[in-house]
Amino acid sequence: MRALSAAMLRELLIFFRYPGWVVSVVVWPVLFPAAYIFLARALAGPDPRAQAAQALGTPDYVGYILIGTLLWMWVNTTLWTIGSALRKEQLGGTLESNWLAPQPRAALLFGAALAHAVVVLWMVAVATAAFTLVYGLKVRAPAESALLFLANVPWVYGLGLLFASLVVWAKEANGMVHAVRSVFLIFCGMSFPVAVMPGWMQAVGRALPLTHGIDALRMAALAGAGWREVAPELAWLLVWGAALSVCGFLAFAFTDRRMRELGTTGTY
Amino acid sequence: MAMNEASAAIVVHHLRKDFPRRAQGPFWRRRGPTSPFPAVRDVTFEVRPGEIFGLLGPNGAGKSTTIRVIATLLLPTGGRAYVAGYDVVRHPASVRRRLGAVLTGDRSLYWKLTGRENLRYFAALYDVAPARTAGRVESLLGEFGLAEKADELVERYSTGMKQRLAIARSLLADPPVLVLDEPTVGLDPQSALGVRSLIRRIAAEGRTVLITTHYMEEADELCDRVGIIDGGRIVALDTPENLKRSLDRTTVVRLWTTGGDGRLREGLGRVPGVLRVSLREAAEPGRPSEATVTGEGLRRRVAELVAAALAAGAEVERVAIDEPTLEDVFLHLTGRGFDR
Repeated sequence: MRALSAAMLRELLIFFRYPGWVVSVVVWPVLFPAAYIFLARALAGPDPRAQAAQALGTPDYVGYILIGTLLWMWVNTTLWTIGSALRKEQLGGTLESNWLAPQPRAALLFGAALAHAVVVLWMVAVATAAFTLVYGLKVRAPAESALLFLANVPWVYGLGLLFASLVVWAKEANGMVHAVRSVFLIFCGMSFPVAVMPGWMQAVGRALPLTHGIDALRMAALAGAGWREVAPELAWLLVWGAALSVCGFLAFAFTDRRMRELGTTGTY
Repeated sequence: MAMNEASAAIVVHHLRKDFPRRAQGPFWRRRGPTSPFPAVRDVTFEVRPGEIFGLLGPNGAGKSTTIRVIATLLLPTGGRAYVAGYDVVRHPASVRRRLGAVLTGDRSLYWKLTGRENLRYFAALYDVAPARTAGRVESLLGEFGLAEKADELVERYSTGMKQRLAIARSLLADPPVLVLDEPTVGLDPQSALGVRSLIRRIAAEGRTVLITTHYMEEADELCDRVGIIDGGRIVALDTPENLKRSLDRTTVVRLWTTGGDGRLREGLGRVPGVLRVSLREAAEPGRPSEATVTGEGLRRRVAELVAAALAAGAEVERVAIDEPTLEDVFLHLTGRGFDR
């Protein structure tokens, strides 16, 4: 636990040494959803709420877009930070000095994940506060919404762990992040209903955990749905969470062993 | 083995490490069988508790690979290694608890953290008790002359300061064994001197130190014993004095020459008693090249060596008869100098 909290503190200290990052987590969660909100207004005509009620199933198009964009941003930043964490340490030269310590080697990644979770919670808080003040956003089932948000943790960080191992092999994060985040951006209904896509795209979208995460949260936060109604979505999230966590751990263990066989812990 | 793995600080027994050699190029061309490259072929040595042991060899000799296996960062292909009695493959966590290591020097630190923050972070990783951490960190910062800059970001440190901080980091948990990979590489002479003096002080506290180096003077000056490694094998192992004494009957004559028609090596080699001739090209045009001639009874044949150099069209700038150095030992054992 101490190593974990030390790694988290280290990440946060480094994060706050870059003013650009600090500014971005204040500005980005507000500006990014706003772009989709203005687009929705432009296309919806004189009464966007009525139009949204018809097209989206809820008049609260602001909340609809905010939930989709915030969850997508979470996945996106996870891929950039956790997904690149091992590679970043490898390039910086600190991977070896960390792995020389008598700690479980995954602690390094979990520390980074905890620091990232703190930043994500901050982004969610900033965006929710800003959209409540500016657009009168109302979350109808706050407790359920918070728990559903947390139900995404296993699959998001499982994906991060898996991605971190893959990036060490590929030795390049940018291309992989762009590919994966584009899939989530298009197929998961971040700013539009999945139903508007062609059939095969809907099938792909329905198979991805982010789609269910977004749907469940929209149902609870915007329509006040209870546990029974969101149960199928929640089950999907938890199954994906278990699968990606196991895959992430296996990939990490395999990568750790192969790096020690190949001597790549300190290579560029 | 003279000592077993329980009583020696480090034991390396017939260590072998092969790396797969892959074809370079686009990824779709990198398929197919790979031939293993033996970075370490057969390395055996022991380090006694409290001694400074040096692995001396040119780049690519297998020093860093050996030390990385000892530090549990690499899995050996064959053979065994023990630290404080613990097998590096079977009990890596126990090894790491007893081993301080500096393998990537200044790159092993977080440059966006201060010196103090770095040490506090690594103290947590090495399970230094929270109540002891502050005192231990302050004591190391003071001992390594970093107290004044402790709250500055490491990115503003000089290379020598970063190296000192990296060594301080390796001592946080007060380990009985320390391994240092090329601890003075890239340092200016004054910083290198400082690091050597630190290493001596660390050993004087009763710790065992294993260093790798390709600087002969460093090995000669610092190490109680030296293992000369070449091509993944230990070719000689003894105290620096004994290694040099093994060339007692050998004389080393150095000639600094300019010009010449390329027949210098051949000409010097024909002088009776000469065993080896090694040429080191001038660092800059117009400066003399250095020819190291090793052989028996050469003190009486200096005039013949000079004559051979003149006959090869060279001008002799300077001649010196030297005591054998560790480089001469290496040259004698392998037939070539460190420069290759």
